[in-house]
Amino acid sequence: MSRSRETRRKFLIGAGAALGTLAYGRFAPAIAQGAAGRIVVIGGGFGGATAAKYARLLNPGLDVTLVERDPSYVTCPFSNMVLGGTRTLADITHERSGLARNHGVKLVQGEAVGIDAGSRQVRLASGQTLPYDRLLVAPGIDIRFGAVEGYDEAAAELVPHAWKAGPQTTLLRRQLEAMEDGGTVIIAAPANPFRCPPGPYERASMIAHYLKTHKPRSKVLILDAKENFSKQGLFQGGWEAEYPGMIEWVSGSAGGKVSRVDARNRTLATEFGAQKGAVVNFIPPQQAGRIAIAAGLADDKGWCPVDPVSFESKQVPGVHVIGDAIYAGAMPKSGTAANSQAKIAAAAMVNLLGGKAADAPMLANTCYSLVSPDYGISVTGIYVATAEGIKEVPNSGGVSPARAAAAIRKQEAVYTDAWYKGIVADSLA
Amino acid sequence: MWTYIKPTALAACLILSAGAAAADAIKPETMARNCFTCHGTGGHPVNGLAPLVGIDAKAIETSMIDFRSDRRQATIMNRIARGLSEAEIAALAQYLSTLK
Repeated sequence: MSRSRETRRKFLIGAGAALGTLAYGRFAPAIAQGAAGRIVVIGGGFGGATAAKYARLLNPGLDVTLVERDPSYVTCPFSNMVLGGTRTLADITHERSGLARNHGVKLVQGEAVGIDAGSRQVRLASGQTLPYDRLLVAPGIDIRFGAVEGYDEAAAELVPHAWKAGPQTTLLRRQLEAMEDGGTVIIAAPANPFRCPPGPYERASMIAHYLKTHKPRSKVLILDAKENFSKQGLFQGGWEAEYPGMIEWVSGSAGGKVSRVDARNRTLATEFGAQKGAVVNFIPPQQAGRIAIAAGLADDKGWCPVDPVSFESKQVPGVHVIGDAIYAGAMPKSGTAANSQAKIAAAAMVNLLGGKAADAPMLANTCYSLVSPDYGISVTGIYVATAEGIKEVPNSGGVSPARAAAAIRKQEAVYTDAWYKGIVADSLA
Repeated sequence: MWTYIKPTALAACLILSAGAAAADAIKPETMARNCFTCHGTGGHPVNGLAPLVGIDAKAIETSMIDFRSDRRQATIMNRIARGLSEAEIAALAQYLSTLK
Protein backbone atom coordinates (compact mmCIF):
# COMPACT_ATOMS: atom_id res chain seq x y z
CA MET A 1 0.00 0.00 0.00
CA SER A 2 1.28 3.45 -0.87
CA ARG A 3 2.05 5.71 2.03
CA SER A 4 0.70 8.79 0.29
CA ARG A 5 -2.04 10.56 2.19
CA GLU A 6 -4.43 10.39 -0.74
CA THR A 7 -4.16 6.62 -0.86
CA ARG A 8 -4.53 6.33 2.89
CA ARG A 9 -7.63 8.48 2.81
CA LYS A 10 -9.26 6.45 0.06
CA PHE A 11 -8.37 3.33 1.95
CA LEU A 12 -9.84 4.68 5.17
CA ILE A 13 -13.19 5.29 3.51
CA GLY A 14 -13.27 1.86 1.98
CA ALA A 15 -12.16 0.35 5.23
CA GLY A 16 -14.91 2.09 7.15
CA ALA A 17 -17.52 0.62 4.88
CA ALA A 18 -15.94 -2.76 4.51
CA LEU A 19 -15.47 -3.28 8.22
CA GLY A 20 -19.20 -3.11 8.76
CA THR A 21 -20.32 -5.27 5.91
CA LEU A 22 -17.30 -6.63 4.06
CA ALA A 23 -19.19 -5.47 0.99
CA TYR A 24 -18.18 -2.34 -0.90
CA GLY A 25 -21.44 -2.25 -2.83
CA ARG A 26 -23.84 -0.90 -0.25
CA PHE A 27 -21.55 2.04 0.51
CA ALA A 28 -21.09 3.03 -3.13
CA PRO A 29 -24.21 5.22 -3.53
CA ALA A 30 -23.18 7.55 -0.69
CA ILE A 31 -19.78 8.11 -2.29
CA ALA A 32 -21.12 8.45 -5.81
CA GLN A 33 -23.67 11.11 -4.90
CA GLY A 34 -21.30 12.93 -2.58
CA ALA A 35 -24.16 14.49 -0.68
CA ALA A 36 -26.19 11.40 0.05
CA GLY A 37 -26.07 9.18 3.07
CA ARG A 38 -28.11 8.28 6.08
CA ILE A 39 -27.01 9.23 9.57
CA VAL A 40 -28.90 7.95 12.57
CA VAL A 41 -28.28 9.55 15.98
CA ILE A 42 -29.32 7.75 19.16
CA GLY A 43 -29.86 10.11 22.09
CA GLY A 44 -31.13 13.68 22.08
CA GLY A 45 -29.11 15.31 24.87
CA PHE A 46 -26.56 18.05 24.27
CA GLY A 47 -24.31 15.59 22.41
CA GLY A 48 -26.79 13.83 20.14
CA ALA A 49 -28.89 16.90 19.36
CA THR A 50 -25.80 18.93 18.43
CA ALA A 51 -24.47 16.13 16.22
CA ALA A 52 -27.77 15.83 14.34
CA LYS A 53 -28.01 19.60 13.83
CA TYR A 54 -24.41 20.08 12.72
CA ALA A 55 -24.48 17.06 10.38
CA ARG A 56 -27.33 18.79 8.53
CA LEU A 57 -25.59 22.19 8.66
CA LEU A 58 -22.42 20.66 7.22
CA ASN A 59 -24.24 18.70 4.53
CA PRO A 60 -27.92 19.54 3.93
CA GLY A 61 -28.10 16.61 1.52
CA LEU A 62 -27.77 14.09 4.33
CA ASP A 63 -30.72 12.21 5.71
CA VAL A 64 -30.42 12.62 9.50
CA THR A 65 -32.70 10.86 11.97
CA LEU A 66 -32.57 11.45 15.74
CA VAL A 67 -33.96 8.71 17.97
CA GLU A 68 -34.83 9.68 21.53
CA ARG A 69 -36.85 7.93 24.21
CA ASP A 70 -38.14 10.97 26.11
CA PRO A 71 -40.59 13.45 24.56
CA SER A 72 -38.75 16.51 25.91
CA TYR A 73 -35.29 17.20 27.25
CA VAL A 74 -34.77 18.03 30.92
CA THR A 75 -31.16 19.20 31.16
CA CYS A 76 -28.88 18.02 33.94
CA PRO A 77 -27.08 21.38 33.84
CA PHE A 78 -29.11 23.84 35.94
CA SER A 79 -31.00 21.03 37.70
CA ASN A 80 -29.00 22.01 40.81
CA MET A 81 -30.61 25.45 40.50
CA VAL A 82 -34.03 23.73 40.62
CA LEU A 83 -32.93 22.12 43.90
CA GLY A 84 -31.81 25.54 45.13
CA GLY A 85 -35.15 27.08 44.16
CA THR A 86 -33.84 29.65 41.68
CA ARG A 87 -35.15 27.73 38.63
CA THR A 88 -38.16 25.52 38.00
CA LEU A 89 -38.19 22.18 36.21
CA ALA A 90 -40.09 23.92 33.39
CA ASP A 91 -37.15 26.34 33.00
CA ILE A 92 -34.80 23.45 32.22
CA THR A 93 -37.20 21.48 30.01
CA HIS A 94 -36.76 21.94 26.27
CA GLU A 95 -38.40 20.71 23.08
CA ARG A 96 -36.40 19.20 20.21
CA SER A 97 -38.82 20.40 17.55
CA GLY A 98 -36.38 23.13 16.45
CA LEU A 99 -34.10 20.43 15.07
CA ALA A 100 -36.86 19.36 12.68
CA ARG A 101 -38.23 22.83 11.95
CA ASN A 102 -34.93 24.66 11.46
CA HIS A 103 -32.63 21.90 10.28
CA GLY A 104 -34.72 19.13 8.72
CA VAL A 105 -33.69 16.50 11.26
CA LYS A 106 -36.19 13.63 11.35
CA LEU A 107 -37.28 13.05 14.95
CA VAL A 108 -38.29 9.57 16.06
CA GLN A 109 -39.54 9.05 19.59
CA GLY A 110 -38.59 5.57 20.71
CA GLU A 111 -36.01 3.56 22.55
CA ALA A 112 -33.11 2.07 20.61
CA VAL A 113 -32.59 -1.45 21.95
CA GLY A 114 -30.16 -2.96 19.45
CA ILE A 115 -27.59 -2.18 16.79
CA ASP A 116 -26.70 -4.55 13.96
CA ALA A 117 -23.37 -3.20 12.69
CA GLY A 118 -23.28 -5.86 9.96
CA SER A 119 -26.51 -4.89 8.24
CA ARG A 120 -26.25 -1.32 9.57
CA GLN A 121 -29.57 -1.06 11.30
CA VAL A 122 -30.85 0.25 14.61
CA ARG A 123 -33.69 -1.66 16.21
CA LEU A 124 -36.24 0.17 18.35
CA ALA A 125 -38.29 -1.25 21.22
CA SER A 126 -41.35 -0.86 18.99
CA GLY A 127 -39.82 -3.34 16.53
CA GLN A 128 -39.16 -0.63 13.94
CA THR A 129 -35.73 -0.69 12.31
CA LEU A 130 -33.76 2.30 11.02
CA PRO A 131 -31.04 1.74 8.39
CA TYR A 132 -27.91 3.90 8.51
CA ASP A 133 -24.67 4.53 6.68
CA ARG A 134 -23.08 5.99 9.80
CA LEU A 135 -24.47 5.82 13.32
CA LEU A 136 -23.79 8.16 16.23
CA VAL A 137 -24.62 7.03 19.75
CA ALA A 138 -24.86 9.62 22.53
CA PRO A 139 -26.52 7.61 25.29
CA GLY A 140 -25.36 9.53 28.36
CA ILE A 141 -25.04 7.54 31.55
CA ASP A 142 -26.97 4.85 33.35
CA ILE A 143 -27.05 4.44 37.11
CA ARG A 144 -25.34 1.23 38.26
CA PHE A 145 -28.12 0.11 40.56
CA GLY A 146 -26.87 -2.64 42.86
CA ALA A 147 -23.23 -1.53 42.68
CA VAL A 148 -23.54 -0.23 46.25
CA GLU A 149 -25.43 -2.53 48.61
CA GLY A 150 -28.96 -1.39 49.26
CA TYR A 151 -29.22 1.07 46.39
CA ASP A 152 -31.67 -0.14 43.76
CA GLU A 153 -34.56 1.50 41.85
CA ALA A 154 -36.89 1.19 44.85
CA ALA A 155 -34.30 2.82 47.14
CA ALA A 156 -34.02 5.73 44.69
CA GLU A 157 -37.66 6.59 45.43
CA LEU A 158 -36.72 7.19 49.08
CA VAL A 159 -33.14 8.38 48.65
CA PRO A 160 -33.04 10.11 45.26
CA HIS A 161 -29.92 10.21 43.12
CA ALA A 162 -31.25 13.11 41.02
CA TRP A 163 -28.34 12.47 38.66
CA LYS A 164 -30.71 12.30 35.72
CA ALA A 165 -32.82 15.42 35.68
CA GLY A 166 -36.62 15.07 35.79
CA PRO A 167 -38.80 13.28 38.34
CA GLN A 168 -35.76 12.54 40.52
CA THR A 169 -34.97 16.27 40.67
CA THR A 170 -38.55 17.04 41.71
CA LEU A 171 -38.46 14.30 44.35
CA LEU A 172 -35.29 15.65 45.96
CA ARG A 173 -36.61 19.22 45.83
CA ARG A 174 -39.83 18.15 47.59
CA GLN A 175 -37.85 16.41 50.31
CA LEU A 176 -35.80 19.58 50.86
CA GLU A 177 -38.99 21.64 51.06
CA ALA A 178 -40.57 19.21 53.54
CA MET A 179 -37.47 19.03 55.77
CA GLU A 180 -37.63 20.78 59.14
CA ASP A 181 -35.16 23.51 60.00
CA GLY A 182 -32.10 22.12 61.75
CA GLY A 183 -31.82 18.94 59.69
CA THR A 184 -28.75 17.63 57.90
CA VAL A 185 -28.81 17.06 54.15
CA ILE A 186 -26.32 14.37 53.15
CA ILE A 187 -24.92 14.30 49.62
CA ALA A 188 -22.88 11.19 48.79
CA ALA A 189 -20.49 11.78 45.86
CA PRO A 190 -19.08 8.88 43.80
CA ALA A 191 -15.56 7.91 42.79
CA ASN A 192 -14.29 8.96 39.36
CA PRO A 193 -15.31 8.77 36.59
CA PHE A 194 -18.84 10.12 36.71
CA ARG A 195 -21.08 12.61 34.93
CA CYS A 196 -20.39 16.28 35.74
CA PRO A 197 -17.36 16.29 38.09
CA PRO A 198 -18.25 19.64 39.76
CA GLY A 199 -21.94 18.67 40.00
CA PRO A 200 -22.09 17.30 43.55
CA TYR A 201 -20.34 20.40 44.92
CA GLU A 202 -22.49 22.87 43.00
CA ARG A 203 -25.42 20.87 44.36
CA ALA A 204 -24.16 21.30 47.92
CA SER A 205 -23.84 25.02 47.20
CA MET A 206 -27.35 25.41 45.79
CA ILE A 207 -28.92 23.38 48.60
CA ALA A 208 -27.01 25.52 51.13
CA HIS A 209 -28.34 28.60 49.36
CA TYR A 210 -31.88 27.32 49.83
CA LEU A 211 -31.28 26.32 53.45
CA LYS A 212 -29.57 29.60 54.35
CA THR A 213 -32.63 31.47 53.11
CA HIS A 214 -35.38 29.16 54.42
CA LYS A 215 -33.94 26.81 57.08
CA PRO A 216 -30.83 28.53 58.44
CA ARG A 217 -30.11 26.09 61.28
CA SER A 218 -29.65 23.22 58.79
CA LYS A 219 -26.42 21.77 57.43
CA VAL A 220 -25.05 20.01 54.35
CA LEU A 221 -22.71 17.03 54.79
CA ILE A 222 -20.85 15.74 51.73
CA LEU A 223 -19.63 12.16 52.04
CA ASP A 224 -17.14 11.68 49.22
CA ALA A 225 -15.60 8.50 47.85
CA LYS A 226 -12.70 10.65 46.59
CA GLU A 227 -9.72 12.40 48.18
CA ASN A 228 -10.20 15.59 46.15
CA PHE A 229 -12.69 17.07 43.70
CA SER A 230 -13.20 19.45 40.79
CA LYS A 231 -12.58 23.15 41.51
CA GLN A 232 -12.08 22.14 45.16
CA GLY A 233 -10.25 25.27 46.32
CA LEU A 234 -12.78 27.53 44.62
CA PHE A 235 -15.76 25.70 46.06
CA GLN A 236 -14.34 25.56 49.57
CA GLY A 237 -13.36 29.24 49.41
CA GLY A 238 -16.84 30.06 48.17
CA TRP A 239 -18.51 28.05 50.94
CA GLU A 240 -16.48 29.87 53.56
CA ALA A 241 -17.56 33.21 52.11
CA GLU A 242 -21.21 32.40 51.42
CA TYR A 243 -22.17 29.68 53.91
CA PRO A 244 -19.72 29.74 56.83
CA GLY A 245 -20.01 26.55 58.92
CA MET A 246 -22.90 25.15 56.85
CA ILE A 247 -21.14 22.73 54.49
CA GLU A 248 -18.86 19.94 55.69
CA TRP A 249 -16.88 17.78 53.25
CA VAL A 250 -15.55 14.36 54.28
CA SER A 251 -12.99 12.66 52.01
CA GLY A 252 -12.98 8.93 51.30
CA SER A 253 -10.11 8.15 53.66
CA ALA A 254 -11.74 10.21 56.45
CA GLY A 255 -14.96 8.19 56.37
CA GLY A 256 -16.66 9.54 53.25
CA LYS A 257 -16.83 6.27 51.35
CA VAL A 258 -20.34 4.78 51.52
CA SER A 259 -20.51 0.98 51.65
CA ARG A 260 -24.25 0.48 52.14
CA VAL A 261 -27.46 2.47 51.76
CA ASP A 262 -30.36 1.96 54.16
CA ALA A 263 -32.93 3.93 52.18
CA ARG A 264 -35.85 3.36 54.58
CA ASN A 265 -33.91 4.93 57.46
CA ARG A 266 -32.10 7.49 55.30
CA THR A 267 -28.83 6.15 56.64
CA LEU A 268 -25.51 5.60 54.89
CA ALA A 269 -22.95 3.12 56.23
CA THR A 270 -19.28 4.15 56.08
CA GLU A 271 -16.07 2.72 57.56
CA PHE A 272 -16.39 5.31 60.31
CA GLY A 273 -19.96 4.43 61.23
CA ALA A 274 -23.48 5.25 60.09
CA GLN A 275 -24.62 8.70 58.99
CA LYS A 276 -28.33 9.52 59.12
CA GLY A 277 -29.71 12.48 57.22
CA ALA A 278 -33.02 14.35 57.26
CA VAL A 279 -32.64 14.24 53.47
CA VAL A 280 -30.18 11.96 51.71
CA ASN A 281 -29.01 12.38 48.11
CA PHE A 282 -26.98 9.35 47.03
CA ILE A 283 -25.09 9.85 43.76
CA PRO A 284 -24.25 6.30 42.70
CA PRO A 285 -21.57 4.80 40.44
CA GLN A 286 -22.41 5.09 36.75
CA GLN A 287 -21.70 3.54 33.36
CA ALA A 288 -22.45 4.28 29.70
CA GLY A 289 -26.14 4.41 28.77
CA ARG A 290 -27.93 1.09 28.27
CA ILE A 291 -27.81 0.95 24.46
CA ALA A 292 -24.00 1.36 24.52
CA ILE A 293 -23.68 -1.65 26.81
CA ALA A 294 -26.22 -3.70 24.81
CA ALA A 295 -24.53 -2.93 21.49
CA GLY A 296 -21.04 -3.87 22.67
CA LEU A 297 -19.73 -0.30 22.48
CA ALA A 298 -18.54 -0.33 26.11
CA ASP A 299 -15.62 -2.22 27.62
CA ASP A 300 -15.78 -4.30 30.81
CA LYS A 301 -15.59 -1.14 32.94
CA GLY A 302 -18.77 0.16 31.31
CA TRP A 303 -17.38 3.04 29.22
CA CYS A 304 -16.80 3.33 25.46
CA PRO A 305 -13.34 3.51 23.87
CA VAL A 306 -13.30 5.73 20.75
CA ASP A 307 -10.86 7.05 18.17
CA PRO A 308 -9.85 10.55 19.35
CA VAL A 309 -10.01 12.02 15.83
CA SER A 310 -13.32 10.69 14.50
CA PHE A 311 -15.00 9.45 17.70
CA GLU A 312 -15.62 6.17 15.89
CA SER A 313 -15.98 3.27 18.29
CA LYS A 314 -12.87 1.14 18.73
CA GLN A 315 -15.18 -1.84 19.24
CA VAL A 316 -17.92 -1.47 16.60
CA PRO A 317 -17.01 -0.02 13.17
CA GLY A 318 -19.26 2.53 11.52
CA VAL A 319 -20.57 3.66 14.91
CA HIS A 320 -19.43 6.91 16.57
CA VAL A 321 -19.88 7.49 20.29
CA ILE A 322 -19.70 10.83 22.13
CA GLY A 323 -20.49 12.48 25.44
CA ASP A 324 -20.64 11.11 28.98
CA ALA A 325 -20.52 7.49 27.75
CA ILE A 326 -16.95 7.56 26.40
CA TYR A 327 -13.35 7.58 27.51
CA ALA A 328 -12.45 11.10 26.36
CA GLY A 329 -8.92 11.34 27.70
CA ALA A 330 -8.46 14.68 29.43
CA MET A 331 -12.02 15.85 28.74
CA PRO A 332 -14.59 15.60 31.54
CA LYS A 333 -18.08 14.20 31.21
CA SER A 334 -19.87 17.51 30.67
CA GLY A 335 -22.52 19.08 28.46
CA THR A 336 -20.01 21.39 26.81
CA ALA A 337 -17.64 18.50 26.12
CA ALA A 338 -20.50 16.55 24.51
CA ASN A 339 -21.47 19.58 22.40
CA SER A 340 -17.86 19.99 21.25
CA GLN A 341 -17.35 16.29 20.54
CA ALA A 342 -20.65 16.26 18.61
CA LYS A 343 -19.37 18.82 16.10
CA ILE A 344 -16.13 16.87 15.57
CA ALA A 345 -18.00 13.58 15.17
CA ALA A 346 -20.60 15.17 12.84
CA ALA A 347 -17.86 16.61 10.63
CA ALA A 348 -16.04 13.26 10.66
CA MET A 349 -19.20 11.40 9.58
CA VAL A 350 -19.84 13.95 6.81
CA ASN A 351 -16.25 13.62 5.59
CA LEU A 352 -16.27 9.84 5.71
CA LEU A 353 -19.57 9.66 3.82
CA GLY A 354 -18.15 12.08 1.24
CA GLY A 355 -14.99 10.07 0.70
CA LYS A 356 -12.60 12.10 2.85
CA ALA A 357 -10.69 11.41 6.07
CA ALA A 358 -11.76 13.02 9.32
CA ASP A 359 -10.24 16.47 9.95
CA ALA A 360 -7.85 17.03 12.85
CA PRO A 361 -10.01 17.97 15.85
CA MET A 362 -9.90 20.82 18.31
CA LEU A 363 -12.20 20.37 21.28
CA ALA A 364 -13.28 22.62 24.10
CA ASN A 365 -14.85 22.35 27.51
CA THR A 366 -16.25 24.93 29.88
CA CYS A 367 -17.95 24.00 33.15
CA TYR A 368 -19.48 26.85 35.08
CA SER A 369 -20.73 26.24 38.60
CA LEU A 370 -22.70 28.50 40.89
CA VAL A 371 -21.57 28.78 44.51
CA SER A 372 -24.50 31.16 45.02
CA PRO A 373 -26.79 32.92 42.51
CA ASP A 374 -24.28 35.80 42.32
CA TYR A 375 -21.09 33.78 42.71
CA GLY A 376 -19.91 31.84 39.64
CA ILE A 377 -16.72 29.85 39.09
CA SER A 378 -15.45 28.06 36.01
CA VAL A 379 -13.03 25.56 34.57
CA THR A 380 -12.21 25.55 30.89
CA GLY A 381 -9.93 23.64 28.54
CA ILE A 382 -8.87 23.33 24.91
CA TYR A 383 -8.00 19.86 23.67
CA VAL A 384 -6.37 18.20 20.66
CA ALA A 385 -5.94 14.59 19.54
CA THR A 386 -2.55 12.96 20.00
CA ALA A 387 -1.28 9.42 19.54
CA GLU A 388 -2.00 8.95 23.26
CA GLY A 389 -5.57 10.20 22.95
CA ILE A 390 -7.25 13.52 23.74
CA LYS A 391 -4.89 15.87 25.59
CA GLU A 392 -5.32 19.38 26.95
CA VAL A 393 -3.19 22.01 25.21
CA PRO A 394 -0.34 22.77 27.66
CA ASN A 395 -0.35 26.10 29.51
CA SER A 396 -3.95 26.82 28.60
CA GLY A 397 -7.33 26.45 30.25
CA GLY A 398 -7.71 26.09 33.99
CA VAL A 399 -9.94 27.44 36.73
CA SER A 400 -11.09 30.87 37.93
CA PRO A 401 -8.58 32.77 40.09
CA ALA A 402 -8.41 31.64 43.73
CA ARG A 403 -8.84 35.22 44.91
CA ALA A 404 -11.10 37.54 42.99
CA ALA A 405 -13.30 40.55 43.62
CA ALA A 406 -17.01 39.96 44.13
CA ALA A 407 -17.57 41.66 40.77
CA ILE A 408 -15.59 38.89 39.01
CA ARG A 409 -17.62 36.15 40.75
CA LYS A 410 -20.79 38.01 39.79
CA GLN A 411 -19.59 38.29 36.20
CA GLU A 412 -19.01 34.54 36.06
CA ALA A 413 -22.50 33.98 37.48
CA VAL A 414 -23.88 36.10 34.61
CA TYR A 415 -21.80 34.04 32.17
CA THR A 416 -23.10 30.83 33.76
CA ASP A 417 -26.57 31.88 32.68
CA ALA A 418 -25.30 32.96 29.24
CA TRP A 419 -23.54 29.62 28.78
CA TYR A 420 -26.80 27.78 29.51
CA LYS A 421 -28.85 29.83 27.06
CA GLY A 422 -26.05 29.48 24.52
CA ILE A 423 -25.61 25.72 24.68
CA VAL A 424 -29.36 25.10 24.66
CA ALA A 425 -29.66 27.17 21.47
CA ASP A 426 -26.52 25.76 19.82
CA SER A 427 -27.73 22.21 20.49
CA LEU A 428 -31.49 22.44 19.96
CA ALA A 429 -32.45 25.58 18.01
CA MET B 1 -9.41 -6.37 -2.92
CA TRP B 2 -12.35 -5.64 -0.69
CA THR B 3 -13.42 -9.19 -0.29
CA TYR B 4 -10.09 -10.35 1.06
CA ILE B 5 -9.08 -7.58 3.44
CA LYS B 6 -8.09 -8.95 6.82
CA PRO B 7 -9.51 -7.14 9.85
CA THR B 8 -6.06 -6.77 11.47
CA ALA B 9 -4.69 -4.97 8.41
CA LEU B 10 -7.74 -2.72 8.37
CA ALA B 11 -7.34 -1.83 12.02
CA ALA B 12 -3.69 -0.91 11.46
CA CYS B 13 -4.62 1.36 8.56
CA LEU B 14 -7.40 3.04 10.52
CA ILE B 15 -4.99 3.90 13.31
CA LEU B 16 -2.44 5.16 10.79
CA SER B 17 -5.03 7.32 9.08
CA ALA B 18 -6.30 8.76 12.33
CA GLY B 19 -2.75 9.63 13.31
CA ALA B 20 -2.15 11.27 9.94
CA ALA B 21 -5.27 13.40 10.29
CA ALA B 22 -4.32 14.43 13.83
CA ALA B 23 -0.95 15.70 12.64
CA ASP B 24 -2.63 17.89 9.99
CA ALA B 25 -3.27 21.56 10.67
CA ILE B 26 -6.54 22.16 12.47
CA LYS B 27 -8.98 23.88 10.13
CA PRO B 28 -10.26 27.27 11.32
CA GLU B 29 -13.89 26.16 10.93
CA THR B 30 -13.15 23.26 13.30
CA MET B 31 -11.82 25.74 15.88
CA ALA B 32 -14.69 28.17 15.29
CA ARG B 33 -17.42 25.62 16.06
CA ASN B 34 -16.18 25.61 19.64
CA CYS B 35 -16.89 29.35 19.88
CA PHE B 36 -20.50 28.74 18.82
CA THR B 37 -21.44 26.93 22.05
CA CYS B 38 -21.58 30.28 23.85
CA HIS B 39 -21.36 32.83 21.03
CA GLY B 40 -24.17 31.28 18.99
CA THR B 41 -24.34 28.95 16.00
CA GLY B 42 -22.56 30.72 13.15
CA GLY B 43 -21.51 33.46 15.59
CA HIS B 44 -25.05 34.77 16.21
CA PRO B 45 -25.48 34.71 20.00
CA VAL B 46 -28.86 34.47 21.74
CA ASN B 47 -27.55 35.27 25.22
CA GLY B 48 -26.11 38.79 25.13
CA LEU B 49 -22.51 37.70 24.54
CA ALA B 50 -20.44 39.33 21.78
CA PRO B 51 -21.48 38.38 18.23
CA LEU B 52 -18.70 36.93 16.08
CA VAL B 53 -20.12 38.21 12.78
CA GLY B 54 -19.36 41.50 11.09
CA ILE B 55 -15.97 41.98 12.74
CA ASP B 56 -12.84 42.37 10.70
CA ALA B 57 -10.10 39.79 11.00
CA LYS B 58 -7.54 42.16 12.47
CA ALA B 59 -9.84 43.18 15.33
CA ILE B 60 -10.62 39.57 16.24
CA GLU B 61 -6.95 38.63 16.03
CA THR B 62 -5.91 41.56 18.24
CA SER B 63 -8.55 40.66 20.86
CA MET B 64 -7.45 37.04 20.99
CA ILE B 65 -3.74 37.87 21.11
CA ASP B 66 -4.43 40.35 23.91
CA PHE B 67 -6.47 37.75 25.82
CA ARG B 68 -3.63 35.31 25.29
CA SER B 69 -1.04 37.64 26.83
CA ASP B 70 -3.39 38.98 29.54
CA ARG B 71 -2.98 42.47 28.07
CA ARG B 72 -6.78 42.39 27.99
CA GLN B 73 -8.47 40.88 31.07
CA ALA B 74 -11.57 38.76 30.78
CA THR B 75 -12.75 35.69 32.71
CA ILE B 76 -12.49 32.50 30.65
CA MET B 77 -11.35 34.04 27.34
CA ASN B 78 -7.76 34.47 28.58
CA ARG B 79 -7.59 30.78 29.46
CA ILE B 80 -9.21 29.76 26.15
CA ALA B 81 -6.99 31.99 23.98
CA ARG B 82 -3.88 30.34 25.44
CA GLY B 83 -5.10 27.06 23.90
CA LEU B 84 -4.44 28.44 20.40
CA SER B 85 -1.13 29.30 18.74
CA GLU B 86 -0.69 32.72 17.14
CA ALA B 87 -0.98 31.10 13.71
CA GLU B 88 -4.21 29.36 14.75
CA ILE B 89 -5.59 32.63 16.06
CA ALA B 90 -4.78 34.36 12.75
CA ALA B 91 -6.50 31.60 10.75
CA LEU B 92 -9.50 31.57 13.11
CA ALA B 93 -9.85 35.36 12.92
CA GLN B 94 -9.71 35.27 9.13
CA TYR B 95 -12.43 32.59 9.05
CA LEU B 96 -14.69 34.34 11.56
CA SER B 97 -14.45 37.57 9.56
CA THR B 98 -16.12 35.78 6.64
CA LEU B 99 -19.21 34.80 8.68
CA LYS B 100 -22.39 36.57 7.71
